Order: sequence, then structure tokens, then C-alpha cells
Amino acid sequence: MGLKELLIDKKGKIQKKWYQLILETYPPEAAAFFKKNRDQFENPVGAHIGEGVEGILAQLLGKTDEDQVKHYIDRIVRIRAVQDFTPADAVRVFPLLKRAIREVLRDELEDPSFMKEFLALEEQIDEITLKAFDIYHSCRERLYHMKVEEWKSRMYMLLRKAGLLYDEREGSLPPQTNMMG
Amino acid sequence: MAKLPKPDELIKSIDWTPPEKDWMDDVPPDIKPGRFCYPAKKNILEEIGFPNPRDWSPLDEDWKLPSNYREIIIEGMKDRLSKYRSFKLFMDICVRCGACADKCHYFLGSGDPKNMPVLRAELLRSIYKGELTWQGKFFGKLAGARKLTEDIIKEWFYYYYQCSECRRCSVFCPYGIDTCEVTMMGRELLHLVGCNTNWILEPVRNCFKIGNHIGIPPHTIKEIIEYLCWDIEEVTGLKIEVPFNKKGAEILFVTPSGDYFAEPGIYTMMGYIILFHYLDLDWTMSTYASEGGNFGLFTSHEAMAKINAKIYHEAERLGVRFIIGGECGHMWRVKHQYMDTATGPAPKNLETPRSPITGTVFEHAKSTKMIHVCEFTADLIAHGKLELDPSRNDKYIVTFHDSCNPSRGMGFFEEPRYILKHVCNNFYDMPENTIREKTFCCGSGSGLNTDEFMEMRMRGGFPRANAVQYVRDKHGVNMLACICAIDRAALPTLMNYWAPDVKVCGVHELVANALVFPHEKTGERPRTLDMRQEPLKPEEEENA
Repeated sequence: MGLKELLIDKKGKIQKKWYQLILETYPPEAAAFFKKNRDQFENPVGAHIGEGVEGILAQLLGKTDEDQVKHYIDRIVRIRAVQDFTPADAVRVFPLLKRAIREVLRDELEDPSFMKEFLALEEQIDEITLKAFDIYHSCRERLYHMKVEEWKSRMYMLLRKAGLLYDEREGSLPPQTNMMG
Repeated sequence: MAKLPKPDELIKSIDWTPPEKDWMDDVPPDIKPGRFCYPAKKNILEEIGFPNPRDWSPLDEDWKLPSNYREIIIEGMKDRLSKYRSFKLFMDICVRCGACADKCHYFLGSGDPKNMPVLRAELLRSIYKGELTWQGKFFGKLAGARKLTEDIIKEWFYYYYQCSECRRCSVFCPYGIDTCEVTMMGRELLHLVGCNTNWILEPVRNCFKIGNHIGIPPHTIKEIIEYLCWDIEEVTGLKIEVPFNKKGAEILFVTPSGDYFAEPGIYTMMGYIILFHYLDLDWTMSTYASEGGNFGLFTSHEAMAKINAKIYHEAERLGVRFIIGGECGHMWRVKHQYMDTATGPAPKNLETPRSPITGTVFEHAKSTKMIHVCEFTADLIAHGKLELDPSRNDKYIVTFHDSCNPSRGMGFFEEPRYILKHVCNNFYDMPENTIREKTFCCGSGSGLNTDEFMEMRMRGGFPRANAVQYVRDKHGVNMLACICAIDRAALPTLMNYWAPDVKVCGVHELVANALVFPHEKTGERPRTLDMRQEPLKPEEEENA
């Protein structure tokens, strides 16, 4: 049996362990709730993290589709990008997958014949972590972009009246504003 | 019947590890940027006569509280306990059953236990017990009691401005405890020592002095609405003039100012104007009662009553017969729950609202003399008074967000849905446990829709956005309709983060899109643009 088959065999346990390790990054009261409530609308954080965990594992162990991997990373990281985490802690969920695998397969990994495959798998997880950082960054960038957009929308008519708004119907901004931009 | 766990399973499920820190000892909170609103400016507090005006920041160690802050707060608490029976009850009767614990959108999005409604209320209840009850004085922490300290003021400020007063938790409380009112009391007490936010108090000042939140003077309001009338001409070919301060008009129309200066609210405003023109209503706007919103509700009962009073003053001065209110959220909570007692009785010239088009008498508004524009329009549709072409909204697949205040504050569920189902062909509700009285807040209500609070808003709005994502993926929903100006300001941002392909509109924007004027039927000038001046049928334009 190769490492991949072994992982497929223990997928359920790894998934459970990884999910548990992610929940432990939250306060205990919240972790208990995220774990207990299975309703995707009443517990959206738990549901999104669960979906991400399941999806990423399936992608790792099956045929990998880049867009799908990004989608599942996004399910987790978009939430953590606005929660109480530093950038490192926000994307730390993916290194936690390494820990989950090592813990579940502790005995099996003693076998040196798995080493090559195991290192390749860990590299794949490192790649996922880096992608997660890209997504984290784009989420944060979007937050700042939204602040600016919101101010423009909020003052829309006043800006339009003052001719300070780029609007296809109104024509472009006055030249001095363009220079500033 | 559900399978009951065996005793050994039950024992296994108990987590014996004590929490690292008791919530009572975990003060002050770790205050970080992005999770609080900026404090009120010194000059604003001075102008409205609020206590302890000063320059300060929640990030400072010293909040410059008055030296006798303890006496001020405890006296303030005693005063409110004696005045408001509800507050006294809410302080005494909670049995900590936890039914509310997981119902708050801020808790669901952040996982911060102090955002559980029960614990948020406990922040105040523990001081009530510790300072004002003998059980608390004797048994202290054992009885869930604490003493008031400066750190607790900081904790209150942090968490009472992380509650959007949406009342979702109160729906699930078996005792009917309205945690929103606990937040209101918490905020009132904080005002006594000068801990408040600028995003709420500057609009309050502007409403007192000028009449609306951002302080737009009368001539600018008129000019802005003229701009909107030019847009209406562009879309419909109609030249419309909006009446201002017209004495003797039949109806005074009051709407949140966001409808005439913020995008996408302006399209809803265009909707009202087009509808009233279609009906040839005798109506007027006031440049003084130029704000439906009432940030006084998020401040204190006195401020709320004072701001609300100007609507009656203008209704009296202009001699109108009744008032129609626009699509606004908390404005309707004020009208429905407090207007009568806080500002009433209504001026004598006002009559029970009666639709001049259908003759329907709105008996439920007998006392306040004010009706919601959605009930007015739903009544018109029910009587077949509007010619509508719902296919004009065919590019939209619409869902409806029940704004917290109209839904939980006044039970307003069906009228907007009834309208939407008549003005568009594609309407899908979000899942049952996220709408009507169980609706999730936009995450920005109660004066929290400021940009410095962005992270918390995104967390708090996540449960709502999650349900929108679901109908987007299942039915292709691309338009989120709502009847609240804060929603129209906050939901586009929320969607931008969580579901970027979903836009936000007011109900009357879609009404105006669908409304068929006689000159449009004759083929004289068929409608090709929507309120946003985008093509009604984009696919036809692409093929052309």
C-alpha cells in the first residue's frame, strides 16, 4: 500500500483531526458551538471551515483541480481574514493539516519507504499555504478598497454635484484630480 | 424518536478542562483597530450638551473619565431601574438557559464568547448585582456579581458597540428578554461619562441643527433631487418637479437622507418620485424633516424623541393630512414602538391615513398618522391601480433581506414580498431560518456602519451573506432587495466581500422599473433603461 492509499484509508480520521485542530484556534466556547451545530445557516463559520477541510483533502487525495483548490482555501481564509487573527495565524490552518496527518499516521510514517511520497505531500501542503496567503492578502486588499468605495457611494450625489466623480455619463474627472490620482 | 445517548457516551462528551480564564477576570478587552468606532469629537459633545467632552481614543490607557464616574454610573443605573420596568426585569429574570447564546450574528461570525447575548447582558447585570443587590454584595463572584471599575467601562464600550440592537436573540429567549434594550441602557450609561461614538453623535447633532444626518442644507437637498429628476427624465422622458415645503399638501413624505444622496439609495428615491407622479399625488417633502433615520434611537430616549418630534412639527406647520415614511429600518422601529408615547399625540391637523387612490383607511396608524410606503404601494397593487410590467426586471433574480427593525420591530414581512412578486418575475426567498423574524442583521445596524469598523461588520454580516451565497448558487440570485437605508449603504460592501456578483436595491427601485406610463404603451417612447440608466434587457443590446 502506498502513502496515498493509506491516506485515503484514513481520510475520515485525518479530516476530523484537522477540523478539530482548526477549531482549537478559537475560544473554547466558540469551538464547542462551531463543532456541535451542523446547520449551515445557523453556524456558517463551522460549515464553511468544514466544507473547506473536506474539499481540500479530497483535492489532495484525488485529481487536483487548481480552481477547486482555490475555492476551498477561500472558504476558510476569507473568514479568518476578518476574524481576530494575525496574518500568520489566519493561514496557519494549512500547516495544521501536516500536524493532523503526522498524528493520525504516527506509526505508519515510521516506515522509511513512505519518505519520498510523504515529502512530496508536505510540499503540496506548503503550496496550499502559500496560495492561502495570496487569498488572505487579496481579502485584506479588498477591505481597504471597500472603505474607499463606500465613502464614494455614501457621498455619491455630493461628489457628482461637485464634479469629482468618474462617471461614464458625466464624463471623466477634472484634470487636476486626474493628476493627483 | 431521536436516539438518546447512553450514560457513558454522555460522560465522554463532557469537557472537564476548565476555561483558561474566567470571563469575569478577563477585563479589559484587547481593544484593536477595526473593532471599535471612533469616539465622538469634543466639539460635537459640547454642541449637543453631552457630558465630559474631551479628546480621547479607546486605544489610550487613560480614557479621561470623570473622577466620580462610579457614582455617576450607579446613580444612572438606579434612575433607569426605577423608570423602566423592562430594564429591571431584564436584570433580574435571566436564568442563563443559553437559548440566545448562538443567535447573535457577531458571535456567529467572530466566535468571541462576550458577543453571546447572554454574556453581553451579563457585563451589565454583574455590575447591577455587585453594586445594587444584597446577594451580590454578600456573595460576590459566586452570585455573578462584580464591582464597577474603569476597565469595566472599557469593556462595556467595546461590547455595547458590538451589538447592532437587531433583537434576533430576543426572538429565542423564553422569557422575552430584549437584549437590545440592555444594550440601549448600556449605551445610555456610557453617555453619562462621555464614552460614545462620533458616527452616531455627529448625525444626531446634524439632525438637531440642520435636519438630516450629514447636515445637507435646504438648497442643496433641492439641487440634489433636481439632479435625480434629470435622471428620471433620461429614463422615462417625464419632466417631474418634486414639491418642497408645500403648505396644504395632503401628504408629507419623509425618507432617510441616504435615499437622496447615497448610491444605491438614490435609485429608490427615483422610484418614490416616479410612483407619486404616476398617481398624481398631492405630496411634499420637507427640507427640515429631511431625515427618516433617527440616530437618537442609538443614543438615548431623549435624543430619539427630540429628533422624531421634527416630523410632527413639520406635519403641523405644513398642514398635511397624513405622513408616508420611506424605506427605512430603525426609523420604523421608532414609529412603531415609541413615536406614540415619546412624541405623541400627533398634531390635530393630522387624520387617520386614507389612501387617496384606493380609499383604504389604514386603521393601524390611527394614532401615529404615519404609514410605510410599502403598505401604501402594496395596497395600490392589491386594488389594481398600477400597471406593471414585471418583465422589465427580468435581468434580476431577486431575493429579499428582511431588515431587522421592520421585521422584528413591527412584524412587517408580507408587504414588501407582495410588491416584489408583482414587479419582478424571478423572486426567491432565502432559507427559512435566515428570514422574517429570524432574519440576520446586515452587521452594520445601530450606528455601526462606519468604515473604521469594517472587520467587525464583515464578521457580523457573514451569516446574512452566507444565506445570500446559498440562493446565489442555487437560483442564480443577483439582486438583494431591502427596505432600509443602512442596508442599502452596508449590504453592497458586505456583498462586495462575500458575494461580489450580487447587487443591492430598494423595493421601490424595482417598482419604478416595472411601472408602465401611458406614453410608454403607445410606443411613443418605450422604456429601454432602468433606474441605474443601464439597459433593461442587456442581451438585446448585445445582439443589436
